[in-house]
Amino acid sequence: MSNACYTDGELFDALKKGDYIGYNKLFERYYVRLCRYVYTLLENTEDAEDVVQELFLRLWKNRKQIEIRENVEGYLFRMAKHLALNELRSKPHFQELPGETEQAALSCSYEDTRVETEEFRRVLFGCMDLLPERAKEVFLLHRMKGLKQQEIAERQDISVKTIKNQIWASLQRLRKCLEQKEAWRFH
Amino acid sequence: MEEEKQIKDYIVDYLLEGGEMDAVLADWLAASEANRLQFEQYKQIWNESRLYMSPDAFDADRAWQKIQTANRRRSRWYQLGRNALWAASGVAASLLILLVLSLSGVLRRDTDWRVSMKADYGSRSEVRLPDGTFVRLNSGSDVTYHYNGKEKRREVCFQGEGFFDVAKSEEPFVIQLANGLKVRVWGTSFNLQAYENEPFVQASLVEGCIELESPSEKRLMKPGEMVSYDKNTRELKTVDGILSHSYGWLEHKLYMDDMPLSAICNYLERWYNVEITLQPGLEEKHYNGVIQEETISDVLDALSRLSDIDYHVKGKHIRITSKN
Repeated sequence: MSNACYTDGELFDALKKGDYIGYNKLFERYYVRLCRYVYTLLENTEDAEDVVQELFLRLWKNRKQIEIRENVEGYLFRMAKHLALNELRSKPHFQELPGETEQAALSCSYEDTRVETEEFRRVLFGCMDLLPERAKEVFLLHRMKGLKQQEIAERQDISVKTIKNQIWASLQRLRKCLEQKEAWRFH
Repeated sequence: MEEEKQIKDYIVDYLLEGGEMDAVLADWLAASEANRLQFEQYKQIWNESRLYMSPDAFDADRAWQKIQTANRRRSRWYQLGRNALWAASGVAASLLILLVLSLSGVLRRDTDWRVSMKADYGSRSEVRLPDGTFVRLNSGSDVTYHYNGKEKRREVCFQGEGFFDVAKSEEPFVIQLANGLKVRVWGTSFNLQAYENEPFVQASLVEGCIELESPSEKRLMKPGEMVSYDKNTRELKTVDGILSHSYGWLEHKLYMDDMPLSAICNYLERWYNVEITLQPGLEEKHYNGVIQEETISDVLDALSRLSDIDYHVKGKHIRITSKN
């Protein structure tokens, strides 16, 4: 019973019939992907996991009532977004949190660009997964921790020059990868 | 090439440090639309990558366990509610009611899976186990499936009568029966009769391969073979007979091949959820033929036509006597 043997639709039908295996396979297929997506909205891994777990609990609890018109993937991501925004709203002072994300997500007029951004990110993250571990580390250390070049250099025990070269190489790789996957059309 | 090298430094510096754009970079951007586009793309990659999180940051195994625990808690309440309803409605007597699968908790891989299913007297049920094995349960049977992740073994506790369609897998499927008999199974289908209150266990192999393991011996069965295990003497013995008759119950039929009345009554008690009292001396009356399941009185009518017995019904109690 390899996971790949079943389409999303088949797994979803199985889930609706109360098949716990189908449920488990959907979980395995989507859990991490959904977590990564929700992370872009909440910017906190623990919150992201909580939201996606809640999603899967609801999925099982309401399995008989769920009717989906679009595809399963679209449904899951839409549900994840909905739950993530609820989570944001439930936080005190949420406007001070990732403000741009929340505002844009809540506003209907941004809806189209949001979808494009999400699609772009999905492809970009896929490309970033392919970066060599070391290069990714350098690329992200700065992004995530806001470190200065000199600090990164000390941490990694390499020269600032090397760091710049690595970042540049990664940027080029990513741009090429995005081009191959035709992600630029989203923007 | 020389210029490209320099521009690259300006771009990376700009992305890293932010702030004012250097005049060299600004000139380069103004020089061509292609340059500007390329720069925008780098900027976008840089900005969006801020939200990147490696897949390793999320622990799917741990999450699944948490979900299991929550679902199990929920299903336990659900089950309690059902059982109360069930008892209140008193419908358990009707035949062919498929019991609803009771997921008494299911865990995964490294830990374990557990699924149980039961068919009460007067009903039948079927269940697909997590490994894909399909089990049909005759009245008064129950099965518990447990995936032992440590030993990578599918372990099954079973009582009653069931027809097993075991999914092929490298992981052994082992049925543990009371009285020290084990049935080791590879992908196959077979009927197993192992009621706790019957003196014999009987396995009928339709296809594939199973191995019976008693405390004293092991017996590898071939397709078409029927073997019984005497719980008292703990002996395995080949049984003569027609294989398909052993799982006639799947089609709601009871094949009586020289079957003593006492055994027939045990069967009927389970099927119809009734209690039958036999007049002493009738136990060893043997019957041949087939009963197609209808109502209990249809069956008793048929039996009385076949021989000199009479029956008296009082609620759920049936008394069988010899005709005078």
